Amino acid sequence: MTNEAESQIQTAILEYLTKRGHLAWRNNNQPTYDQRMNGGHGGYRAQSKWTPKGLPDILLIDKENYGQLVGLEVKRPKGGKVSADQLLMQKRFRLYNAEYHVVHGVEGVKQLGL
Amino acid sequence: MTALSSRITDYILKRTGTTLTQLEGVVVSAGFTLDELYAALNQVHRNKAIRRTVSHGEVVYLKALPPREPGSHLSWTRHNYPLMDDTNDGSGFDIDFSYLFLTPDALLEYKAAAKNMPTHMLQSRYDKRS
Repeated sequence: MTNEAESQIQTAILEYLTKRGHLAWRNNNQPTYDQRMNGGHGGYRAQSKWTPKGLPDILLIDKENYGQLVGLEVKRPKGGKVSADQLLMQKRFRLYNAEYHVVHGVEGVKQLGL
Repeated sequence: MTALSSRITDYILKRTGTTLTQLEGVVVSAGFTLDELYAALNQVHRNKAIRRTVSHGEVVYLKALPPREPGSHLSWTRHNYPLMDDTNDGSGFDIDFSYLFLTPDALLEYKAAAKNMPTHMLQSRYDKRS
């Protein structure tokens, strides 16, 4: 198994989910880089205080399961680690009967039945 | 910060190494719901006095490490020599300028004597460089 970049795996998963007809989107939770900040030296824009930490990379509404909200946290096959914030978010998702899965590729998504 | 989050913060600072599962047990036994706990933990995660790690798939809360001093590379000197004052003029800090006025042979002998090593050992090191 090759160790692809996380973004490549995300793209592959989103292509797969879109082909299957799910409403899925990339949940962009990384700060945006802005070259104009810090007097032209560049920097990252601050995230809104309403953006919680640990949000999954991909969110989708499962059309075959009564519109169930599913969060997919994408990790590389080798070396990908789930952070404490992501574990806490996983617990919160499950508390509210939403799904939160850590996947390492398209195969993992297929195994979830999506 | 809510009352619950400040109580959780105090709890973690007292008992560093608390896991999320332990916190869930404590908070539920105190009459709060898991929903309230997770909402409060969002606040706790913003607190810089507490750090969190993942160990064996479990969130562990620890007291934050004290901030490191900027590395001036003079900490050994600072901790081992007294500060200069009226009684201490700082003598003993002389920089060795011998390389400016000694001939190469004399410098070699001087360095060998300073290191308590025979001259040929230093000589071989200098030979390797050139």
